[in-house]
Order: sequence, then structure tokens, then C-alpha cells
Amino acid sequence: MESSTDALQSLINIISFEKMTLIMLICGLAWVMLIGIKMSLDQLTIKLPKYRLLWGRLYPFIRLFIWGGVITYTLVGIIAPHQNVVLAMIGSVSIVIGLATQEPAKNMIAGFIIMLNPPYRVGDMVTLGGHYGEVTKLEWSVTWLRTFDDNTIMVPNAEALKTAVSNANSGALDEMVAIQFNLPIDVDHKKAMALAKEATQCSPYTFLNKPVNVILGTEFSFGQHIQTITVKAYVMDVRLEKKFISDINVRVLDAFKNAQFYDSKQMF
Amino acid sequence: MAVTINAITTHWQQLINKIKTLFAPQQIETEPSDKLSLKAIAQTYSHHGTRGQLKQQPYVIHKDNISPLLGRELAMEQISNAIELWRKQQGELSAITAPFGAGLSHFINNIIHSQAAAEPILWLSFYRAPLSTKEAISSLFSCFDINDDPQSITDAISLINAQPAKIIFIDDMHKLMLRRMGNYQALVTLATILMETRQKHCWIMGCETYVWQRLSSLYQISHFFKTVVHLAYLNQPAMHTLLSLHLADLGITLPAQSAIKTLDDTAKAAPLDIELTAIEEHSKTLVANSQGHPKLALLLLKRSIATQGIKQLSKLPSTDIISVDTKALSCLDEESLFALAEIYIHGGLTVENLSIIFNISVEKSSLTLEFLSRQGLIIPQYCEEDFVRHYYQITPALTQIVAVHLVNHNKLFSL
Repeated sequence: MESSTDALQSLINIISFEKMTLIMLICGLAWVMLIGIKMSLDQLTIKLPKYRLLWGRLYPFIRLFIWGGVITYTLVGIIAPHQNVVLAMIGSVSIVIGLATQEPAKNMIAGFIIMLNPPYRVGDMVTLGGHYGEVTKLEWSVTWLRTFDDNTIMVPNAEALKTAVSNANSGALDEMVAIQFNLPIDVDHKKAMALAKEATQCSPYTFLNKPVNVILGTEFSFGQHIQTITVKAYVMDVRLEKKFISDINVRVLDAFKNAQFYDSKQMF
Repeated sequence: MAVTINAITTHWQQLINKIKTLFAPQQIETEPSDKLSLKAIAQTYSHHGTRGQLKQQPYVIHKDNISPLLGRELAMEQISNAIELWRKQQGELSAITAPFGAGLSHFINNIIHSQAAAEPILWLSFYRAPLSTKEAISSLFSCFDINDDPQSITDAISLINAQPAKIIFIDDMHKLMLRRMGNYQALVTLATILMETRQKHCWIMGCETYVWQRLSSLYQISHFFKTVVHLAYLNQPAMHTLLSLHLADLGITLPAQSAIKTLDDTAKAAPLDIELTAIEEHSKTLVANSQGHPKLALLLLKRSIATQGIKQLSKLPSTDIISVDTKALSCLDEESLFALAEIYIHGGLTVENLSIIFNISVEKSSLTLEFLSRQGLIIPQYCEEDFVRHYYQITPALTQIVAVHLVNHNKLFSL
């Protein structure tokens, strides 16, 4: 009975004005600190864009540690709850976990798992929930994507654990792009492959530290045999993906047309 | 109520305006006196103004008054060993890589100077990238004054191998590379001929560091060169020596040691020591400010001396040495950075070449290049006959600053 009274007393003490003020002050400081860190990381991104993925993926971790530190210090250093209160809190946490089947809690837990074992990071190009775009923000419960149409899409984190995630660059700035060309079957395929490779190497957006591969295939389409030339090359920056595809198309088509690979029947 | 809503609104507006004035940036921007703008640096190269007739001409070898090499002893030894091996019929291709402005030509001149004149030595520059097998063979024929039209690669190899043995230095191999269709085959032809004639002739190629890396990524060029010597920008001891050598050019005279010592050994030896200490201090600051680029370091020191109007280096505090204001670089957009990277890697581009590389019109290309030129990042050589032949290259003193900026912005890559 006495211990229950003590527990009740300590619970009342928690909501004392001084403690609440101190907790709010610490939370405020943590918030200001996070704003400062975010601004510094943004500045670093402007100064050293080459490492923008690193700066981008640092922030969720810093935020996790700062808020984790605030919560721990608040609980242990300021509130210092009675043993019974701790037991009560464990009970409450158990209820929260029990409620994790509920969407918000599920997304938050998914967010935590994503941070610990990330299938993607800030700056990656991913297909998530049927949307393809760059991960711009990784929050507790949602992931923000920016598509090439400049749309911002919010995807619940639970989606990342529930469905398959396709990551195009996995933490690197460069990304492989595959572009396919169709040619008549009677075209000199060796010349076509050489031209496609050289035209790709001529693009200023091609990342030349990684190989340019050209793959030859054949298809039977609309009653005709055709050969397919697939160029697999790396773009320097994931953000240039579409520009790169367009540039390669222009260059390779120019090369094919100059080599007169398309006869007049196919040109019209 | 004496206070109306209008009065409150007016006061509120005034307050907002006051806050805005406090936090608004200064409208009139003045150039800081301790910094030298990129434009001001580019203006020191105004003599590059007109473009002359381009020819593949051999360099003039300065046999007299050659200035010493700074910290290149090991590199010198490696190249000398490669030449000696060639003389013993074990010739292989050699390359010297150096960033722009690190003194590659000066290094080659010193090698030539150090070699006994047993064989004819040729030192030349390729002014134009070949775009076909025929052009590649023609370029190599010009090294031997062969005027025949190349028939085939086999004939070319036989003809070159029939020529008297030569040591050939190609100063700017980077000019052989051009991001255009046809260049790949031309380079393959060129590499084949070099490989097949390496026993007869000693080929030593000079190439810019980032271009070498690009060629290594693209064509695995490093596999074919046995000796590859890497030169870097100057470190602090080398910068110290450079300053000591250029004191007269800077209008600085050191107090004479012997004359002072005879008067009073302890008290009057100080002025020279003070000057030497100043050179030491300034060399550290200049390495930091110029990132070891010798031309930029000398330019910065010269400007600092002129600004302060001094005759002794000890009168110039190291903190007063001018640094470079790189604000113009930070303002460049993505497209300009890409253009700058290609200009850097090619050692210079014409309006026409840039338009082909980026698939843009010559007008757009011309405007892009003029914009970069206005920023002081590149210097033009105008061609009177045709604007598409205007040639632009990175301002020589700014090559290191530009390269570092491009690397940080993901436009240039190292392996």
C-alpha cells in the first residue's frame, strides 16, 4: 500500500512545473540543435555536392541519437521514476507494441527498422509503392520521394517492408541505365554495337569510371525478325537519369542514321 | 480609443521594415581587398587574345638558362632509366602525368637538357585530336616529316620503323582525346602504332592527370605504358625554392650576408635571417592559398607586394597575402559546370567542339563559353574568320582551383 502511495506521489512529481519546464527546455534545445545541424548539412551539400548522399543519410541518424538522448536523459535524469512507475511504463509500452498492428505505430516501427537496416537511404532512386523517384526525406513513419515529374510523394514506411523495393543506385551517385534500340535484322550488328558504344562514351553525362556494355539480342515482332541493341551505361548523377537517356537516344540514333541503318521504308 | 487599427497597422509595417533593413544584405557589394577575383586573374592573360594559325610545330628546346627542377629528382631518374632501357633495345612506352600548370613542359625541357645528344630528340605538341585512322597516322607521320598519304596501318608501322631512331616527347597527349565519334578508332590506331614502334623510337607522352585517369577508365591506357611518372603541384619546400628563385622578378633584393657579417656578426646578421624567415612563412601561406600552383602563387605574391608597395618580404605579413575569391565558381549552374569540365579535360575547346559534345547549337555554345569567359574562368583566343573557331581554355593560373571545384561537384573523377 505504501509503495503504491509512493508511486502515485512520484507520478504527481513528474508533472511538477519545474520538471515540465526543464523537459520542455531540453526538448527546445534539441529542436534548435537539430535545426542547426540540418542547416549545416544543407550548406555542406551546397559546398560539396559530391557527398550529398552522405550528408543526406547522416541526418536521420543524428535525429535518432539526439531524440534518443533527450528521452533517456528526461526519463533517467529528470523524471527518475519510481520502480512501480517503471513497471507501469513497461506495461504501457507493451500495450503500444500490442497496438503496433495499427497503421501509425506500424509505420513508426517500420521507420525504425528501415533506419537500422536500410533498404534505401536519402538520395537513392527507388521504386516504392509503385512510385519511382529520389528519396528526399526519411522520417519516423513516412518516406518522401521526388519523382522526375517534380511531384512529391509520401509513402508510409510500412509499405517498404511489405512490398519489394527496387533501389537503382544503392547509396552511390552514379546509376546504371539500360536503353534499348531496335534495328532491322540485315544491319551489320558488329558495326551497330561499336557505334552504340562509342556514341554512349561521347555523352558528357556518362560515368566513364564504370564500363559501357552493349548487348545484342534478337526478337520476332509483327511478323519480322529484328535485332535489339541494349546499351547499359552509368550516368554520373542519378538526377540526370532522364537527361542521360534522352542524350544517348539522340547520339545513338544519329550514329545509326549516319550509318544508314534505317532504310527509307523505316524512316517514314 | 485613441489608438486606431490603422495606426497599429502602420506601426506594425514600420517595425517589419526596420527588421527587413537589419537583415537585408548590403546592396552595394565591394570587392574585398584581401582577395583577388577570378576575373582579375584572367585579365593578366590578355595577350592570349587573338588566335593564330594552328600548326603542329616542335617546341623550342631551351638549352641555356634552364631553371632547376623543384622536387622532381625521382621522376627525373625514372624517365632517364626508361630512356636507358630503350637504348639497350628494351624500349617501352613511357608517360608523364601532371595536372595543368604543375610544370610538365619545364620537366620535359630538363630531361632533354640532361640527355646526351646521341639520338635526335623531338619535342612536339599535337594541336588537334584525330577523328579517323587516317588522321591518326598523319599525326604520327608529321613527327618524322613524312609527307606520304597513309595507305594502311601496316604500311605506316613499316615506314615509321624505317626512320632513324628518335626520342620523341609528346607534350600534351590530352589534346589527342576528343569526345567525338571517330576519336576512339583514331586512338586505337595511334596506340597500336606506338606499341609497334616502341623498340625503334623512344616515345614519352605527357598527359594531364585527370585526362590520364579518363583514358585509363575508357581504354585501359595504363596497361600499355611501362613507366608512368606522376608529377604533383609544389609542396612547401619546393614553393620555398621557387620563391627564392623569383625574388628578382618580384622586385625583392635580399641583404648581402657577407657584407653584413664583416661589420657585426651577431647584431647585423639578422636582416637576412628575417628575410629568409619571411620567405619560409610566405611559402606556407602561398601553398595554402594557391594549392601549390606555382603560377598562381607567384601572381598572388606579386599582387600582394604591389598592393602593399614594399621592397622587403619581411614587411609583408603572411596574413596580408592575397587569396583567390572563388565566388564566381560557386554561382555556376549545372550546365556551365559540365561545359567547364569538358573544357578542362580537353585542355581547351572551340565553339564548334563544345556544340558537338553537348549536342547544342553553335550559338548556344558560343554564349556558354562567353559567359564562362566573363567570369574569368576561361580565356578566349578569337578567330577573325569564323566565330565557331574561337578557342577557349581554362585560365592557366586557375587550373587547380577549377579542377578541385569540379571534383567536389561531381563533374571530374579520379580513379
